[in-house]
Amino acid sequence: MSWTELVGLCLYFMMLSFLAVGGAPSVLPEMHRYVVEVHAYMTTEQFAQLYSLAQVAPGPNVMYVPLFGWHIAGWIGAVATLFSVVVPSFSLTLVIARLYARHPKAAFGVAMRRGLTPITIGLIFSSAWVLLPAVNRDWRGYVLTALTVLIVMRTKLNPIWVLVGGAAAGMAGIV
Amino acid sequence: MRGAFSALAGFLAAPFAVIMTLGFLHRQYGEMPIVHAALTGMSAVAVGLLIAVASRMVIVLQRRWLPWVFVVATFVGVGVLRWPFLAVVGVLAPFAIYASWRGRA
Repeated sequence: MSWTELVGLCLYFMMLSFLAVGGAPSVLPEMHRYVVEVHAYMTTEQFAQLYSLAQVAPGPNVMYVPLFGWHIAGWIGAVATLFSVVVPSFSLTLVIARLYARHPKAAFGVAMRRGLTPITIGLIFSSAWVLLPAVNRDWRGYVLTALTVLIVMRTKLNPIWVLVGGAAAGMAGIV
Repeated sequence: MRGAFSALAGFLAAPFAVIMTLGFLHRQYGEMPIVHAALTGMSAVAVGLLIAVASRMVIVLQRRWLPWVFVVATFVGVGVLRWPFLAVVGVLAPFAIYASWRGRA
């Protein structure tokens, strides 16, 4: 990857970070479009694996981004992409938090949050939709995905244990 | 402001170290069949977690039809048709905010 490409990638991630309504999972489909479909920096399987790998790590859920950056452009890529996605949304959050503290009941703020929620939901479902074919090669994978949804919705089990269970199921050759 | 950004750096340092360690291990051992199999299982779960997060948010959605239009339109545009995020959200967001401002969604 050339420097201009890395700068292009970082600028793109920065822009997405400003627009990430609903946080990190909501920009996943667009990142997939950019790094897999448009630029072919990695395969869709690699994309899905790196994303899943990041789910077992503690910390904020944007941590899949430096893995993409690392894959594409090494250490510099990891650091550069992390800052590209974190700094804009963090600054925006600071500004909004300040506004919110000053006008907690501002009607427009409430309307904006409430109005964007359905879009966020659509984006997160899109993330799942984009990852599904890369992740599940046959029906057993889909069963495991469905089971996960059921367990997370119905119980208070920490998702990390479901991930561990998924890893165990994989090692046992079930999926 | 500066305090906030150094707090951010402190907040990110440890998770970044962990994630890069994982990435490094993945690069070293990811081709081993057992590791690959574990990741395959984890990936299926990771997708399920995304669906669960979105489904939980659906529950708090108000019982009106208009928010659903935005959920479905976003999903079809970004997820199914793979249209650019900017185009889809750029068009839908103003309508969604306007609708909720007018108290319809």
